[in-house]
Amino acid sequence: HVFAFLWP
Amino acid sequence: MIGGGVTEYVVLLIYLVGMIGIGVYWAKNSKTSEDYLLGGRKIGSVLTALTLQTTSMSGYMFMGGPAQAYKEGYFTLWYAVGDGGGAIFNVGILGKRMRRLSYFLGCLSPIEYIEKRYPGPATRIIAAIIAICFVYGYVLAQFLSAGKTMCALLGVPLPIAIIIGAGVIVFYTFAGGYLAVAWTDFIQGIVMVCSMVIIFVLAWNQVGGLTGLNESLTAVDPTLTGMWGKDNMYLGQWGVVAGAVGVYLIGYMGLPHVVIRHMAMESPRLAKQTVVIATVWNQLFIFVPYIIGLMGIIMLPNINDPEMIVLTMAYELLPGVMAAIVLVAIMSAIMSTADAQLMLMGTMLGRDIYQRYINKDATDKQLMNVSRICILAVGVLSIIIALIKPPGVFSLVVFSFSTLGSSFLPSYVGAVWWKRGNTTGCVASMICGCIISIVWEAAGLATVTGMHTFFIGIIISIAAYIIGSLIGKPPTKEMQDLIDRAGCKTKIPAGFATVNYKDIAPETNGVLTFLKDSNYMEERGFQPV
Repeated sequence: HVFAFLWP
Repeated sequence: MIGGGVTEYVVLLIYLVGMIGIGVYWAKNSKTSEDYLLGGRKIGSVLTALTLQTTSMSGYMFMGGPAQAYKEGYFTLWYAVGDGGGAIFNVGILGKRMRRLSYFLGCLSPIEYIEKRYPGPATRIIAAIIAICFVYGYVLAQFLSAGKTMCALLGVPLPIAIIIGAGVIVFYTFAGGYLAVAWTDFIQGIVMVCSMVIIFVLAWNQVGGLTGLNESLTAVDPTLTGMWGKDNMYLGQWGVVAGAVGVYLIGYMGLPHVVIRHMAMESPRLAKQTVVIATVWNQLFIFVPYIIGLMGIIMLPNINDPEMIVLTMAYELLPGVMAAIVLVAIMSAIMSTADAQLMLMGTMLGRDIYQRYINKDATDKQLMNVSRICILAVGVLSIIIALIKPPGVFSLVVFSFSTLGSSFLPSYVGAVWWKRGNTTGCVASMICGCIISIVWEAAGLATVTGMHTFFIGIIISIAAYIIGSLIGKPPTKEMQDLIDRAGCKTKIPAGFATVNYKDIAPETNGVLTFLKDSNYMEERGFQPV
């Protein structure tokens, strides 16, 4: 769920 | 002081002379006020994309961003998540329509655009006061930042650093106008992204890639790789997260010095290339500084000043000349934002104050000269204020982004997407957005409530715009027709082809062309509608 950040 | 050798001075000197050269070159090529203030509306997609994004990104991305990630862990990437999609929203929502409507209305400044779209004596006065105060606060901050950066990195005394750093910005903006600003932004954008990516790739190998970085961070403190910040300090505060994402995802649509880029595009049809170029540039430039900050936790655990992470890494990982180029990249980030704000100050003072209130019959040449003088005057005044640093002036800066974003965003978006949007709504949203942002920030309510200033400011401002527009008198029929025309929505009577002949079957195309070019229908008594 953190991997929320890693969008590009 | 990290740099300060001969190499750094030579590289910085070459860079500053290059910027001055661009200013001198475009000074000869700006013939009209439209050339000087908007680049003659002939800015291509690559230039538009880079000037849009470099204007939006200041020196914070090289210093403040990595430092914040160093202190708070992965949580700071919420800012990057919003920032990374900023161009998609900005160009996708405003790009084409704002370019068309500003052209139809004959506007040269983003404040004039607001006044012509929402006619009324209050509109321009309120818009100009908010824009001039807070954009000026921004200019001051960038000038001081340019001086402090040169001072910290090269050991140049602060007063001399401010005069050199800010002086170059003032010169090329004063001389070459919008075209000089756009071309320097282009070069600065290339230097910024290349420097950041090179440091990232070299540091990536040092920490063992993304997996190595995350495993090392978890070993230091598991909350660093969580969603809620170091020691879960923001646990469950979705208002803070929404503000952090939203402030940059949609916030740029409210900044006058950013949206003026849409007005200068050569054609609305360039928006599609612009959105791709700007988005790719964003992904390379925006996520990387925060991840470099996280790498700093592993590579530089005992650094005294986390704001120096990028530069310290540059000097550890790169040869001298390359490290000096990173120093230039930091100056580029500051200068690319400052020049746009200074240019806007000159545009507003020339077009919105001088030509509107002082000399309504000013010729094109007079407007260009007055705008030039205003840029020079604002620039020199800013350098003097940055040197003497009177108390209270720099507190303006804290309010700038949220106040500008909250005050103008609903009016810029509503101008092209909602025909009912009117003067009452615009004035209400500017006043409410401005006041709530200042009060929220000054009273420290963001910390108390867990609601970001921009988040609350924009909600109030949008509500005021909608309620005000529903209460007030609708725009005139002519204005509504122009808004339709800006969105290519005007209903055209039958008989005028609204399909593109290239897109239909050759047989149908042949019949249509025959009917159009011959009098076949008229000869048989059919009249076009």
